[in-house]
Amino acid sequence: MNILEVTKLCKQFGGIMALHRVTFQVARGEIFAIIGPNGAGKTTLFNLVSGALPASSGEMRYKTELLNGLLPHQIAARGLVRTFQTVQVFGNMTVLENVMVGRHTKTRYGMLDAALRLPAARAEEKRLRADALARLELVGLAPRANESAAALSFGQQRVLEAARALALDPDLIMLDEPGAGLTRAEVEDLDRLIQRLQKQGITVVLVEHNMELVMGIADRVMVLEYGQKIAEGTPLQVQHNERVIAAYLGADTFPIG
Amino acid sequence: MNLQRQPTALRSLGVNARAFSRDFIGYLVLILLLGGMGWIEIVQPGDLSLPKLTGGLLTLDMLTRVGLFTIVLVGLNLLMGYAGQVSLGQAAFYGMGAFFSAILTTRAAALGIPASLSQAWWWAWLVMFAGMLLTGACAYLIGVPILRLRGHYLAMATLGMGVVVYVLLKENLAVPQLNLTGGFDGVHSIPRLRIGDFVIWPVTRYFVLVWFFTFLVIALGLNIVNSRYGRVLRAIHASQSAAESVGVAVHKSKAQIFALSAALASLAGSLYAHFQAAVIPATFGFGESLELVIMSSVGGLASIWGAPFGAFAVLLLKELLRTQLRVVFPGVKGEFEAIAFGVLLIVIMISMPEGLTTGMLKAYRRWRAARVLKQEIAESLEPLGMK
Repeated sequence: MNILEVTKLCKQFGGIMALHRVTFQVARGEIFAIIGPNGAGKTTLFNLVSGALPASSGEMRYKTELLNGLLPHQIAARGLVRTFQTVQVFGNMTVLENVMVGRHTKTRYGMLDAALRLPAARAEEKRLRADALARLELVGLAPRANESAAALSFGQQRVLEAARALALDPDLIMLDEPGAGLTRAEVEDLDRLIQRLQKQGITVVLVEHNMELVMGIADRVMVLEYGQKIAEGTPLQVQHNERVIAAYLGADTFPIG
Repeated sequence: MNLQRQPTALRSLGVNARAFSRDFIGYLVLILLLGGMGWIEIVQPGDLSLPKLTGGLLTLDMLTRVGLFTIVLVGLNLLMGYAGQVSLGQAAFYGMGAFFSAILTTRAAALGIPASLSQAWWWAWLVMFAGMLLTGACAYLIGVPILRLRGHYLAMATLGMGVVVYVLLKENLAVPQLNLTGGFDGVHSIPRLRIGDFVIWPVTRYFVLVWFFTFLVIALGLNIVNSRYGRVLRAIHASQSAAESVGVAVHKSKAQIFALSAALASLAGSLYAHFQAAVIPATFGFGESLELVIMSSVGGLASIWGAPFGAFAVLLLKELLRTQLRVVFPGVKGEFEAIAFGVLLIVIMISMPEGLTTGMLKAYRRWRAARVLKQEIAESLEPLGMK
């Protein structure tokens, strides 16, 4: 069963076709990677699916519900979350508080409860703290829970961003270049984390340049070039696809054959 | 080396120890300061009084004003300091509250409100409460479109809103026949607040009333800051797109906090109206909005405690310059104190860009860390026989 279905999706920026009739499906529980040269439209695709940008045409469906026209926070509340290529942790908060914001939609107490610190608010706040801490345990950041998020290393901020997204209990998480700028050891941790998410039943869509990571964990890979899908299949199929090799190495300068 | 000693016992209980102790110190300092000054003024031990002690600098009148501004500033700090949304029109809401109270307590008969209502002691309190709701609702409606703007554009929009409200107050809400706001001259003879037959006046009583509300507002502000709403505000400040990406309804949250800050400004405005017994539109123009932003920045934007200390520092500074500048520089006139005020502001903002409270707290932490470091170096050198 498909959790995400994108049909003939187009996005135009002025005269530039950033995405052109892209169609793909993501099955529930799989790890789906999107690769392609710089400027291929990968991040634009994330921005459309997450509601950050409106689509020019085409359809996006999550659990059969149409996503077109929904606002980013509405999409997130439905269990489809994303992370950012440029890390966006809340540097003015502690690590724990970052994750607690991620659980905002799972809390209910109102402004009045908060202002008067009524029992409802206090009880929920306590539960919230525990839930957030559990997410930090999952990614291994629990020991640094009370530190400022700005004090974390770049790699740890990426991990924190993932933990914050996981706090929503998503069914589908979209990771935008989670491995960029990470050390080798950190990439290995990331690899394990993504596999653990899959075991928990979370569908993972990731954009990534680190081929070792992608080919190692992805169930299926889609390749974009100049806004168009040029290939899709298992890592092995994609690796031996001539159009993909041409796109990455340049067919004109290095004819393959 | 352990430079940052955190009370781990509290931390293991899940209490944010730093916030807890800071708030405790804040309450203590404020209560001691106000309690001390209020006691001297009210009891007047040994023929002493506050103005006598301070050369006319501090009066209960002035401290009451500090309380009123603090109420506005708590709201403004939530909006500007925490959520990062600039408002250059906050005085408009302050004015709306003031005029709402003024009009409905003095012109009730002309508005067709029966005397049995408008003469009751609780009428003024009811009006105050209704003013908060109304101002908050207005702010929400204004906030939904304009808070989509960011940075300088939002500043311009709020500035425009402030000008519109100011002109409306000055021009009798564009209905001169009713003469509701009294035009330039404003509204006079506003009655004092009462509880039953107990009139909350003279100023000693009003001082206690205003600070009762002020402490209440500070407590509410602190609670909000440490709740899911406070975290959302800071998240919006840090990254709007990231906040959206985790399901925060950013626009709604911004409009909500705008409404809350407006309601608080309205409360302060109503209290101001019954304090002054007269209100004029000129008090609620752009100059006042600007002064609120200055107080907020001087006190420290992202801190509730910045509110009382910012209001106090700015009012004190202005009073000092007004009374003392002529003593130091005989012969100066007119706008000279504004220049001195401006220069002092620049100095404060350069040396403590995060405001007085945060700035002093940081200076203290640096000093303590340096002392611990010095001690540890001395301890490590001792066994080596060095001193």
